[in-house]
Amino acid sequence: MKNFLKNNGLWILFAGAVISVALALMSYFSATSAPLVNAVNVLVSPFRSAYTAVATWFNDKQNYYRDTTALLDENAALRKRVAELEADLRQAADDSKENEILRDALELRKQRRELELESAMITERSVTNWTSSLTLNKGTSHGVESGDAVIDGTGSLVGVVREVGLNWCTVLTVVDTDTSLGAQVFRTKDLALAVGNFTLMEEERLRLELLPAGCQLLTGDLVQTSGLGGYYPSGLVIGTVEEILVDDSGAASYAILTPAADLSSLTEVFVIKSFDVVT
Amino acid sequence: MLARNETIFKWFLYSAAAVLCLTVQGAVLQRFTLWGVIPFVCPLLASIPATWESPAAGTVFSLAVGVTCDLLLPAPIPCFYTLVFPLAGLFSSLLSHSILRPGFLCSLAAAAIAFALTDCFACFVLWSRGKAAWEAGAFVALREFCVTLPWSVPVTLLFRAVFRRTHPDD
Repeated sequence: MKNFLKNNGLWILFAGAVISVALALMSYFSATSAPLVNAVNVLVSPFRSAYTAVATWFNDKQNYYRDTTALLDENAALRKRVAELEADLRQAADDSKENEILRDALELRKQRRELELESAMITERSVTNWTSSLTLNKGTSHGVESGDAVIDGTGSLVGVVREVGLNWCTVLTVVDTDTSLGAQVFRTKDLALAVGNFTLMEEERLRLELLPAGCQLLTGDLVQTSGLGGYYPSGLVIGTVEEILVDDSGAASYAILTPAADLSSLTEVFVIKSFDVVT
Repeated sequence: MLARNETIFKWFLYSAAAVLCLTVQGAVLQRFTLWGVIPFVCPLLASIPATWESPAAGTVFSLAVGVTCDLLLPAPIPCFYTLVFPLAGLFSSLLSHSILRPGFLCSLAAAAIAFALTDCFACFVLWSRGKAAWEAGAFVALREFCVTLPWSVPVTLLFRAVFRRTHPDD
Protein backbone atom coordinates (compact mmCIF):
# COMPACT_ATOMS: atom_id res chain seq x y z
CA MET A 1 0.00 0.00 0.00
CA LYS A 2 2.80 2.39 0.95
CA ASN A 3 4.67 1.64 -2.26
CA PHE A 4 1.48 2.03 -4.29
CA LEU A 5 0.92 5.50 -2.83
CA LYS A 6 4.56 6.46 -3.34
CA ASN A 7 4.43 5.49 -7.01
CA ASN A 8 0.95 6.75 -7.88
CA GLY A 9 0.16 9.48 -5.38
CA LEU A 10 -0.05 12.31 -7.92
CA TRP A 11 -2.16 10.28 -10.35
CA ILE A 12 -4.56 9.49 -7.52
CA LEU A 13 -4.84 13.21 -6.78
CA PHE A 14 -5.51 13.96 -10.45
CA ALA A 15 -8.10 11.19 -10.70
CA GLY A 16 -9.76 12.50 -7.56
CA ALA A 17 -9.98 15.96 -9.10
CA VAL A 18 -11.60 14.57 -12.29
CA ILE A 19 -14.11 12.55 -10.26
CA SER A 20 -14.91 15.63 -8.20
CA VAL A 21 -15.65 17.63 -11.34
CA ALA A 22 -17.99 14.89 -12.53
CA LEU A 23 -19.77 14.79 -9.20
CA ALA A 24 -20.11 18.55 -9.17
CA LEU A 25 -21.75 18.42 -12.62
CA MET A 26 -24.17 15.79 -11.31
CA SER A 27 -25.55 18.28 -8.84
CA TYR A 28 -26.75 20.38 -11.77
CA PHE A 29 -29.30 17.69 -12.61
CA SER A 30 -30.21 16.69 -9.10
CA ALA A 31 -32.79 18.07 -6.66
CA THR A 32 -30.32 17.65 -3.81
CA SER A 33 -26.63 18.30 -3.73
CA ALA A 34 -24.14 15.88 -5.25
CA PRO A 35 -22.79 13.18 -2.90
CA LEU A 36 -19.32 14.68 -2.61
CA VAL A 37 -20.65 18.21 -2.02
CA ASN A 38 -23.04 16.82 0.59
CA ALA A 39 -20.28 14.86 2.31
CA VAL A 40 -17.87 17.80 2.44
CA ASN A 41 -20.51 20.18 3.78
CA VAL A 42 -21.67 17.64 6.39
CA LEU A 43 -18.04 17.43 7.56
CA VAL A 44 -17.68 21.20 7.64
CA SER A 45 -21.06 21.87 9.33
CA PRO A 46 -19.84 21.47 12.94
CA PHE A 47 -16.99 23.90 12.31
CA ARG A 48 -19.38 26.46 10.80
CA SER A 49 -21.63 26.17 13.85
CA ALA A 50 -18.64 26.56 16.16
CA TYR A 51 -17.31 29.66 14.39
CA THR A 52 -20.79 31.23 14.40
CA ALA A 53 -21.29 30.46 18.09
CA VAL A 54 -18.01 32.20 18.96
CA ALA A 55 -18.80 35.20 16.76
CA THR A 56 -22.32 35.46 18.26
CA TRP A 57 -20.86 35.41 21.78
CA PHE A 58 -18.56 38.32 20.93
CA ASN A 59 -21.43 40.24 19.30
CA ASP A 60 -23.63 39.73 22.34
CA LYS A 61 -20.90 41.08 24.61
CA GLN A 62 -20.49 44.08 22.34
CA ASN A 63 -24.22 44.80 22.21
CA TYR A 64 -24.44 44.57 26.01
CA TYR A 65 -22.52 47.83 26.30
CA ARG A 66 -24.57 49.80 23.77
CA ASP A 67 -25.73 53.32 24.59
CA THR A 68 -28.65 53.17 27.06
CA THR A 69 -30.15 56.42 25.79
CA ALA A 70 -30.49 55.06 22.26
CA LEU A 71 -32.19 51.96 23.64
CA LEU A 72 -34.65 54.06 25.68
CA ASP A 73 -35.54 56.13 22.60
CA GLU A 74 -36.02 53.01 20.54
CA ASN A 75 -38.20 51.53 23.26
CA ALA A 76 -40.45 54.59 23.31
CA ALA A 77 -40.84 54.55 19.54
CA LEU A 78 -41.66 50.84 19.58
CA ARG A 79 -44.28 51.31 22.31
CA LYS A 80 -46.00 53.93 20.16
CA ARG A 81 -45.89 51.64 17.14
CA VAL A 82 -47.31 48.74 19.17
CA ALA A 83 -50.23 50.92 20.24
CA GLU A 84 -50.94 51.84 16.60
CA LEU A 85 -50.73 48.20 15.55
CA GLU A 86 -53.07 47.10 18.34
CA ALA A 87 -55.65 49.61 17.09
CA ASP A 88 -55.23 48.25 13.54
CA LEU A 89 -55.57 44.72 14.87
CA ARG A 90 -58.87 45.50 16.60
CA GLN A 91 -60.19 46.97 13.35
CA ALA A 92 -58.89 43.97 11.41
CA ALA A 93 -60.61 41.57 13.83
CA ASP A 94 -63.94 43.32 13.17
CA ASP A 95 -63.32 43.24 9.41
CA SER A 96 -62.42 39.55 9.57
CA LYS A 97 -65.67 38.71 11.39
CA GLU A 98 -67.66 40.63 8.82
CA ASN A 99 -65.72 38.90 6.01
CA GLU A 100 -66.55 35.48 7.46
CA ILE A 101 -70.26 36.32 7.71
CA LEU A 102 -70.31 37.53 4.11
CA ARG A 103 -68.36 34.48 2.85
CA ASP A 104 -70.84 32.18 4.60
CA ALA A 105 -73.72 34.10 3.08
CA LEU A 106 -72.24 33.69 -0.40
CA GLU A 107 -71.25 30.06 0.33
CA LEU A 108 -67.55 30.71 -0.48
CA ARG A 109 -64.67 28.45 0.64
CA LYS A 110 -63.21 29.25 4.03
CA GLN A 111 -59.92 31.13 3.94
CA ARG A 112 -57.04 29.29 5.50
CA ARG A 113 -53.33 29.68 5.77
CA GLU A 114 -51.37 26.70 7.01
CA LEU A 115 -47.60 26.73 6.89
CA GLU A 116 -45.42 23.87 8.07
CA LEU A 117 -42.29 25.57 9.42
CA GLU A 118 -38.87 24.26 10.39
CA SER A 119 -36.75 26.62 12.46
CA ALA A 120 -33.09 26.87 11.52
CA MET A 121 -30.04 28.77 12.71
CA ILE A 122 -27.78 30.62 10.30
CA THR A 123 -24.30 29.09 10.45
CA GLU A 124 -22.70 31.07 7.66
CA ARG A 125 -23.43 34.27 5.73
CA SER A 126 -22.28 35.35 2.28
CA VAL A 127 -18.93 33.72 1.74
CA THR A 128 -18.13 35.52 -1.51
CA ASN A 129 -18.66 39.07 -2.73
CA TRP A 130 -20.59 37.88 -5.79
CA THR A 131 -23.50 36.13 -4.09
CA SER A 132 -25.86 36.87 -1.22
CA SER A 133 -26.47 33.61 0.54
CA LEU A 134 -26.99 32.06 3.95
CA THR A 135 -26.11 28.57 5.16
CA LEU A 136 -28.53 26.97 7.61
CA ASN A 137 -28.11 24.02 9.94
CA LYS A 138 -31.10 22.04 8.64
CA GLY A 139 -31.31 19.76 5.60
CA THR A 140 -33.05 16.77 4.02
CA SER A 141 -33.05 14.91 7.33
CA HIS A 142 -35.39 17.65 8.63
CA GLY A 143 -37.64 17.68 5.58
CA VAL A 144 -36.07 20.70 3.88
CA GLU A 145 -36.12 20.63 0.06
CA SER A 146 -34.63 22.73 -2.69
CA GLY A 147 -37.03 25.54 -3.61
CA ASP A 148 -38.53 25.96 -0.11
CA ALA A 149 -39.18 29.55 0.92
CA VAL A 150 -37.45 30.89 4.04
CA ILE A 151 -38.94 33.59 6.28
CA ASP A 152 -37.87 35.43 9.41
CA GLY A 153 -39.70 35.69 12.71
CA THR A 154 -42.02 38.42 11.41
CA GLY A 155 -43.05 36.42 8.35
CA SER A 156 -40.98 38.45 5.90
CA LEU A 157 -39.36 36.57 3.04
CA VAL A 158 -35.63 36.01 3.53
CA GLY A 159 -34.92 33.88 0.46
CA VAL A 160 -35.28 30.50 -1.21
CA VAL A 161 -33.41 27.25 -0.54
CA ARG A 162 -31.09 26.61 -3.47
CA GLU A 163 -29.04 23.61 -2.42
CA VAL A 164 -29.73 21.13 0.32
CA GLY A 165 -27.71 18.38 1.96
CA LEU A 166 -28.21 16.02 4.85
CA ASN A 167 -27.96 18.57 7.68
CA TRP A 168 -27.29 21.83 5.82
CA CYS A 169 -28.82 23.96 3.14
CA THR A 170 -27.85 27.07 1.22
CA VAL A 171 -30.40 29.87 0.91
CA LEU A 172 -30.18 32.55 -1.77
CA THR A 173 -31.53 35.74 -0.23
CA VAL A 174 -34.09 37.96 -1.94
CA VAL A 175 -31.35 40.37 -3.06
CA ASP A 176 -29.18 37.75 -4.76
CA THR A 177 -28.67 38.13 -8.51
CA ASP A 178 -30.34 34.79 -9.22
CA THR A 179 -33.51 35.59 -7.29
CA SER A 180 -36.75 35.88 -9.26
CA LEU A 181 -40.10 35.91 -7.45
CA GLY A 182 -43.72 36.44 -8.48
CA ALA A 183 -44.80 39.55 -6.60
CA GLN A 184 -47.94 41.55 -5.91
CA VAL A 185 -48.36 45.12 -4.70
CA PHE A 186 -50.53 44.87 -1.57
CA ARG A 187 -52.40 48.16 -2.09
CA THR A 188 -53.19 47.94 -5.81
CA LYS A 189 -53.04 44.13 -6.27
CA ASP A 190 -50.87 44.67 -9.37
CA LEU A 191 -48.70 41.70 -10.32
CA ALA A 192 -44.99 42.11 -11.03
CA LEU A 193 -41.66 40.31 -10.78
CA ALA A 194 -39.18 40.86 -7.96
CA VAL A 195 -35.66 40.18 -9.20
CA GLY A 196 -32.20 40.49 -7.75
CA ASN A 197 -29.69 42.80 -9.39
CA PHE A 198 -25.91 42.72 -8.91
CA THR A 199 -25.61 46.50 -8.75
CA LEU A 200 -28.25 46.70 -6.01
CA MET A 201 -27.20 43.55 -4.17
CA GLU A 202 -24.44 45.30 -2.27
CA GLU A 203 -26.93 47.90 -1.02
CA GLU A 204 -29.28 45.04 -0.03
CA ARG A 205 -31.96 46.16 -2.47
CA LEU A 206 -33.79 44.47 -5.34
CA ARG A 207 -35.87 45.46 -8.35
CA LEU A 208 -39.56 45.15 -9.04
CA GLU A 209 -39.99 44.71 -12.80
CA LEU A 210 -42.68 43.88 -15.37
CA LEU A 211 -45.07 46.34 -13.79
CA PRO A 212 -48.36 46.62 -15.68
CA ALA A 213 -48.95 49.73 -17.77
CA GLY A 214 -50.68 52.38 -15.76
CA CYS A 215 -49.52 50.95 -12.43
CA GLN A 216 -49.75 53.68 -9.79
CA LEU A 217 -47.00 52.75 -7.37
CA LEU A 218 -46.22 54.94 -4.39
CA THR A 219 -43.11 55.05 -2.23
CA GLY A 220 -43.74 52.91 0.82
CA ASP A 221 -46.09 50.46 -0.94
CA LEU A 222 -45.84 46.96 0.47
CA VAL A 223 -44.88 44.19 -1.95
CA GLN A 224 -45.59 40.54 -1.16
CA THR A 225 -45.35 37.19 -2.93
CA SER A 226 -48.20 36.57 -5.34
CA GLY A 227 -48.37 32.81 -4.87
CA LEU A 228 -48.96 32.31 -8.59
CA GLY A 229 -47.67 28.98 -9.86
CA GLY A 230 -47.84 27.47 -6.40
CA TYR A 231 -44.09 27.60 -5.80
CA TYR A 232 -44.29 29.83 -2.73
CA PRO A 233 -47.14 30.80 -0.44
CA SER A 234 -48.84 34.08 -1.23
CA GLY A 235 -48.70 36.95 1.20
CA LEU A 236 -45.06 36.69 2.27
CA VAL A 237 -43.78 40.25 2.57
CA ILE A 238 -40.84 40.86 0.23
CA GLY A 239 -40.26 44.54 0.96
CA THR A 240 -41.40 48.10 0.45
CA VAL A 241 -41.06 50.42 -2.53
CA GLU A 242 -38.19 52.84 -2.02
CA GLU A 243 -37.96 54.49 -5.40
CA ILE A 244 -39.75 54.38 -8.75
CA LEU A 245 -37.65 54.78 -11.87
CA VAL A 246 -37.92 54.49 -15.64
CA ASP A 247 -35.70 52.00 -17.45
CA ASP A 248 -33.18 52.90 -20.15
CA SER A 249 -35.70 52.46 -22.95
CA GLY A 250 -38.05 54.96 -21.32
CA ALA A 251 -41.01 52.71 -22.06
CA ALA A 252 -41.35 50.86 -18.80
CA SER A 253 -40.99 51.72 -15.15
CA TYR A 254 -39.54 49.67 -12.36
CA ALA A 255 -39.17 50.09 -8.62
CA ILE A 256 -36.37 49.64 -6.13
CA LEU A 257 -37.47 47.57 -3.15
CA THR A 258 -36.07 47.57 0.37
CA PRO A 259 -36.37 44.03 1.78
CA ALA A 260 -38.54 43.73 4.86
CA ALA A 261 -36.17 41.19 6.43
CA ASP A 262 -32.99 42.60 7.97
CA LEU A 263 -30.63 40.24 6.16
CA SER A 264 -27.45 41.37 7.91
CA SER A 265 -28.64 40.77 11.48
CA LEU A 266 -30.66 37.56 11.17
CA THR A 267 -29.66 34.65 13.38
CA GLU A 268 -32.72 32.41 13.20
CA VAL A 269 -35.06 31.78 10.27
CA PHE A 270 -37.93 29.45 9.39
CA VAL A 271 -38.09 27.18 6.36
CA ILE A 272 -41.58 26.66 4.92
CA LYS A 273 -41.57 22.94 4.22
CA SER A 274 -45.16 22.83 2.96
CA PHE A 275 -48.11 25.19 2.76
CA ASP A 276 -51.85 25.25 2.16
CA VAL A 277 -53.19 28.70 1.41
CA VAL A 278 -56.75 29.44 0.34
CA THR A 279 -57.61 33.08 -0.23
CA MET B 1 14.60 16.04 -8.20
CA LEU B 2 12.71 14.87 -5.11
CA ALA B 3 12.05 11.24 -4.26
CA ARG B 4 8.45 10.05 -4.51
CA ASN B 5 7.81 10.02 -0.78
CA GLU B 6 9.30 13.51 -0.47
CA THR B 7 7.04 14.72 -3.28
CA ILE B 8 3.95 13.34 -1.56
CA PHE B 9 5.04 14.87 1.75
CA LYS B 10 5.56 18.22 0.00
CA TRP B 11 2.06 18.25 -1.49
CA PHE B 12 0.63 17.12 1.82
CA LEU B 13 2.24 20.18 3.45
CA TYR B 14 0.95 22.46 0.68
CA SER B 15 -2.56 21.04 1.16
CA ALA B 16 -2.37 21.49 4.92
CA ALA B 17 -1.31 25.11 4.44
CA ALA B 18 -4.22 25.65 2.04
CA VAL B 19 -6.65 24.10 4.52
CA LEU B 20 -5.30 26.41 7.23
CA CYS B 21 -5.92 29.43 5.00
CA LEU B 22 -9.44 28.23 4.16
CA THR B 23 -10.12 27.79 7.88
CA VAL B 24 -9.00 31.35 8.57
CA GLN B 25 -11.21 32.50 5.67
CA GLY B 26 -14.25 30.68 7.04
CA ALA B 27 -13.73 31.46 10.72
CA VAL B 28 -12.46 35.03 10.60
CA LEU B 29 -12.17 36.83 7.28
CA GLN B 30 -15.69 36.39 5.93
CA ARG B 31 -17.15 37.88 9.11
CA PHE B 32 -15.55 41.26 8.53
CA THR B 33 -16.42 43.77 5.86
CA LEU B 34 -13.88 46.32 4.67
CA TRP B 35 -14.77 48.88 2.03
CA GLY B 36 -18.05 46.99 1.52
CA VAL B 37 -16.47 43.61 0.69
CA ILE B 38 -15.05 40.64 2.57
CA PRO B 39 -11.42 39.55 2.09
CA PHE B 40 -11.35 36.48 -0.16
CA VAL B 41 -8.09 34.51 -0.05
CA CYS B 42 -9.11 31.58 -2.30
CA PRO B 43 -7.60 33.08 -5.49
CA LEU B 44 -4.37 33.57 -3.52
CA LEU B 45 -4.33 29.85 -2.72
CA ALA B 46 -4.70 29.08 -6.42
CA SER B 47 -1.88 31.37 -7.54
CA ILE B 48 0.80 31.80 -4.87
CA PRO B 49 1.73 28.12 -4.34
CA ALA B 50 2.00 27.72 -8.13
CA THR B 51 4.77 30.35 -8.23
CA TRP B 52 6.99 28.03 -6.24
CA GLU B 53 6.41 24.96 -8.41
CA SER B 54 6.55 23.85 -12.03
CA PRO B 55 3.66 24.84 -14.37
CA ALA B 56 2.20 21.31 -14.51
CA ALA B 57 2.34 20.69 -10.78
CA GLY B 58 1.15 24.21 -9.95
CA THR B 59 -1.80 23.84 -12.30
CA VAL B 60 -2.86 20.54 -10.77
CA PHE B 61 -2.65 22.00 -7.26
CA SER B 62 -4.74 24.98 -8.38
CA LEU B 63 -7.24 22.54 -9.88
CA ALA B 64 -7.51 20.80 -6.50
CA VAL B 65 -8.05 24.17 -4.79
CA GLY B 66 -10.73 24.98 -7.35
CA VAL B 67 -12.52 21.67 -6.76
CA THR B 68 -12.42 22.27 -3.00
CA CYS B 69 -13.86 25.76 -3.40
CA ASP B 70 -16.64 24.42 -5.63
CA LEU B 71 -17.52 21.91 -2.92
CA LEU B 72 -17.66 24.53 -0.16
CA LEU B 73 -18.69 27.83 -1.74
CA PRO B 74 -21.77 28.94 -3.67
CA ALA B 75 -21.01 29.87 -7.27
CA PRO B 76 -23.04 31.09 -10.25
CA ILE B 77 -22.34 27.92 -12.22
CA PRO B 78 -21.13 24.43 -11.25
CA CYS B 79 -17.34 24.05 -11.44
CA PHE B 80 -16.85 27.83 -11.53
CA TYR B 81 -13.62 27.74 -9.51
CA THR B 82 -12.54 24.42 -11.07
CA LEU B 83 -12.56 26.12 -14.46
CA VAL B 84 -10.79 29.35 -13.56
CA PHE B 85 -8.29 28.46 -10.83
CA PRO B 86 -6.13 26.11 -12.97
CA LEU B 87 -5.67 28.97 -15.44
CA ALA B 88 -4.64 31.24 -12.60
CA GLY B 89 -2.19 28.62 -11.36
CA LEU B 90 -0.73 28.08 -14.81
CA PHE B 91 -0.19 31.78 -15.51
CA SER B 92 1.25 32.33 -12.04
CA SER B 93 3.73 29.52 -12.50
CA LEU B 94 4.76 30.74 -15.95
CA LEU B 95 5.22 34.22 -14.49
CA SER B 96 7.56 32.94 -11.79
CA HIS B 97 9.55 30.87 -14.29
CA SER B 98 10.01 33.60 -16.89
CA ILE B 99 9.69 37.12 -15.51
CA LEU B 100 9.75 37.40 -11.72
CA ARG B 101 11.47 35.18 -9.21
CA PRO B 102 9.18 33.68 -6.56
CA GLY B 103 8.77 36.10 -3.72
CA PHE B 104 6.52 38.88 -2.49
CA LEU B 105 6.53 40.83 -5.74
CA CYS B 106 5.80 37.73 -7.78
CA SER B 107 3.00 36.81 -5.35
CA LEU B 108 1.46 40.26 -5.77
CA ALA B 109 1.50 39.90 -9.54
CA ALA B 110 0.16 36.34 -9.36
CA ALA B 111 -2.63 37.49 -7.03
CA ALA B 112 -3.54 40.22 -9.49
CA ILE B 113 -3.72 37.65 -12.30
CA ALA B 114 -5.86 35.30 -10.21
CA PHE B 115 -8.32 37.99 -9.20
CA ALA B 116 -8.50 39.38 -12.73
CA LEU B 117 -9.31 35.94 -14.15
CA THR B 118 -11.79 35.00 -11.42
CA ASP B 119 -13.68 38.27 -11.35
CA CYS B 120 -13.72 38.66 -15.14
CA PHE B 121 -15.17 35.18 -15.41
CA ALA B 122 -17.81 36.10 -12.80
CA CYS B 123 -18.74 39.20 -14.82
CA PHE B 124 -18.85 37.10 -17.99
CA VAL B 125 -21.21 34.59 -16.34
CA LEU B 126 -23.48 37.44 -15.25
CA TRP B 127 -23.47 38.84 -18.79
CA SER B 128 -24.20 35.43 -20.32
CA ARG B 129 -27.30 35.16 -18.13
CA GLY B 130 -28.61 38.53 -19.22
CA LYS B 131 -27.67 40.28 -15.97
CA ALA B 132 -24.67 42.22 -17.20
CA ALA B 133 -23.06 44.41 -14.56
CA TRP B 134 -19.58 45.17 -15.90
CA GLU B 135 -19.13 48.48 -14.12
CA ALA B 136 -20.43 47.28 -10.77
CA GLY B 137 -18.46 44.04 -11.17
CA ALA B 138 -15.24 45.91 -11.91
CA PHE B 139 -15.71 48.04 -8.79
CA VAL B 140 -16.37 44.97 -6.63
CA ALA B 141 -13.33 43.26 -8.18
CA LEU B 142 -11.09 46.24 -7.46
CA ARG B 143 -12.21 46.51 -3.84
CA GLU B 144 -12.00 42.75 -3.32
CA PHE B 145 -8.43 42.74 -4.65
CA CYS B 146 -7.33 45.74 -2.55
CA VAL B 147 -8.86 44.35 0.63
CA THR B 148 -7.36 40.87 0.10
CA LEU B 149 -3.93 42.00 -1.07
CA PRO B 150 -2.43 42.47 2.44
CA TRP B 151 -3.19 38.80 3.08
CA SER B 152 -0.85 37.82 0.25
CA VAL B 153 2.05 38.54 2.63
CA PRO B 154 1.26 35.88 5.26
CA VAL B 155 0.13 33.47 2.54
CA THR B 156 3.45 33.95 0.71
CA LEU B 157 5.39 33.46 3.94
CA LEU B 158 3.44 30.29 4.69
CA PHE B 159 3.96 28.68 1.29
CA ARG B 160 7.57 29.85 1.11
CA ALA B 161 8.15 28.09 4.43
CA VAL B 162 6.63 24.92 2.99
CA PHE B 163 8.82 25.19 -0.12
CA ARG B 164 11.98 25.71 1.91
CA ARG B 165 11.08 22.84 4.22
CA THR B 166 10.68 20.46 1.28
CA HIS B 167 13.48 21.85 -0.93
CA PRO B 168 16.39 22.27 1.48
CA ASP B 169 18.88 22.38 -1.39
CA ASP B 170 17.13 25.21 -3.32
